[in-house]
Amino acid sequence: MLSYLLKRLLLFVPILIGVATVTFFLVYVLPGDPVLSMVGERYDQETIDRLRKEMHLDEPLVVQYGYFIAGLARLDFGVSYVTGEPVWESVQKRFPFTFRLALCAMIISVVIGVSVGVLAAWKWRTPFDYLTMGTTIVGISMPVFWLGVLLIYLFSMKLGLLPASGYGGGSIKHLILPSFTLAQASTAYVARITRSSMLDVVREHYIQTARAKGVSESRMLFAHALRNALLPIITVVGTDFGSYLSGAVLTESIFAWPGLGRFTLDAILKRDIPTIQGAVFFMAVVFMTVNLAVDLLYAWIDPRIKLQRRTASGP
Amino acid sequence: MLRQVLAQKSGMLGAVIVAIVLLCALVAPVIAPYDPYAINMEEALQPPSGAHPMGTDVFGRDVMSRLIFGARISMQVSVLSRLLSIVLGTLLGLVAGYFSGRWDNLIMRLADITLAYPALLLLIAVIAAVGPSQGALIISLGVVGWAGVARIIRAQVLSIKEREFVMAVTSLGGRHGGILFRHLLPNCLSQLIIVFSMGLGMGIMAESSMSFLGLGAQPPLPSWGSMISSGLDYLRGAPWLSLAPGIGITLAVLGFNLLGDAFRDVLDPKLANTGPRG
Repeated sequence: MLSYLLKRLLLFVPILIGVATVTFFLVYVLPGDPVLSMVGERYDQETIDRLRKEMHLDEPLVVQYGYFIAGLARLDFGVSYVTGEPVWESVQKRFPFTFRLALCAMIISVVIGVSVGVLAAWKWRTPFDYLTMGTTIVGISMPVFWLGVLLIYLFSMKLGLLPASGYGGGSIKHLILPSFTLAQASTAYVARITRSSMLDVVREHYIQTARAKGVSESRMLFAHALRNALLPIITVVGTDFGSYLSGAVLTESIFAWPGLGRFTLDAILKRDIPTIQGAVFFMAVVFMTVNLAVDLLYAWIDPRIKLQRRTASGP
Repeated sequence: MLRQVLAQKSGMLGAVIVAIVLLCALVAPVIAPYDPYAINMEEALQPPSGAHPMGTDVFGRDVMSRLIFGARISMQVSVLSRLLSIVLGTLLGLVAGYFSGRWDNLIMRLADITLAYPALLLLIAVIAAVGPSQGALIISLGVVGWAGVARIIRAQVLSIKEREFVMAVTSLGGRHGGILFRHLLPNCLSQLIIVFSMGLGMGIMAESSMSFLGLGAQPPLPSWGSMISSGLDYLRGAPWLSLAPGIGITLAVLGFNLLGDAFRDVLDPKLANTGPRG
């Protein structure tokens, strides 16, 4: 296990540097002069020159790249061009909101998705199975922002039950609509993957042995089948959790949720280069870390994986 | 193959929906009841009626006609961007899988880096850089999508390049290019069909998400995503403005997902029943 862990960590580093590099150069092609947008209307040449020097914008690109990488190593993402706040601080401030939303969405999709999937597999080829599988494929096909609009229309405008947007000081009411919206696609997907991997497992010999031994149907379902169907479920849940943590841009925008996704979208629209670089890099790292954790969990659950490197073709 | 796909109920349903969407896209001017750009302030914000089955928007434009024309934008963006991803991903995936070693390593690490980014934010950043337009969206969506395709093609190449027929061509002195394109590529065809049909649904979704954020096709072009976002201000009084295009997107994506699923069940039964993704 340890050598596997080390190997995976070693692979992590070059990708991290790659991500940092791409982030730097990607943002560099943004048009517009950051200094001009910073000083606004009342500027004089002296201020501009001073700021340019302070931000190392007068140096060659390679040197700026050096500053950028050196900064990252010290967790110094620079200072926002718009608010003047250190980027790392703002990112840290926003991340808990995103985390809260992502965690809620994940719990919803695991609880609902796995139960529906198990039931559908149990009631295989019954109306319940067809109905839930039909619903889930519609769920996967529905754009998340539209579901958000739909829920706002129904639950806040028509029924007046839940607030349409905002964080509401952390009240549960404010959390419900955004987290169900965000959870939609992965709930549907978890249900489908649970069902299909349960069905795969049920056909295996050891299940038939268990059945022959007289193990009860429900015990078999949960103790034997579900346990062995866990791997694909973990992959889906892990990947989705990673992508929710790295900014649920659409959901956060619709519900005016003060998380990292909306923060980054704002920065991109305002061309606030240090903020974009810092936030995007941070989110990529979070995303990669979650994926790494999933891989390790995977290897821990299924020892066969350590022996062969996955020729990952995606879930 | 097509017959097997259509023999499945869901495949048939998907094919019908896809056919309708394609028809809308191809002959929009013929079937749309009104000009999607014609402003008629006297008929602004009309609820759905016989004359306007899906109502009218703030400028009195017929929502159904705009929806039909919107299919054009959606299809253009998703088909073209997916083709671009497939061309890039297939080339790089073939090279990575076939030559292995240094090239494989380089290409796959590039894929890792691409996939390490939150996809939507990467798109937003690129579009913010070059300015929002339909062309920019097609190219950036296409480029961002290469990595997923490359992984799948590489995995397929790895699994077939040790097979006898490839060995035979190699030992007969077949050239790399010939082996790659004449022998390996055709064996990736079913993967490519699956990737393409699944990807179209995701392309429609990505297009509508970007235009919802104002970063896709620009008004007055009737893109589904931007129709939803411009209807938001009138959600209480005129909900059809946002609801109708959402149903359009969901149906279109559903059609491609069902069709893609059906293709996959026929072409690659191992993966049956998991639903779209990848």
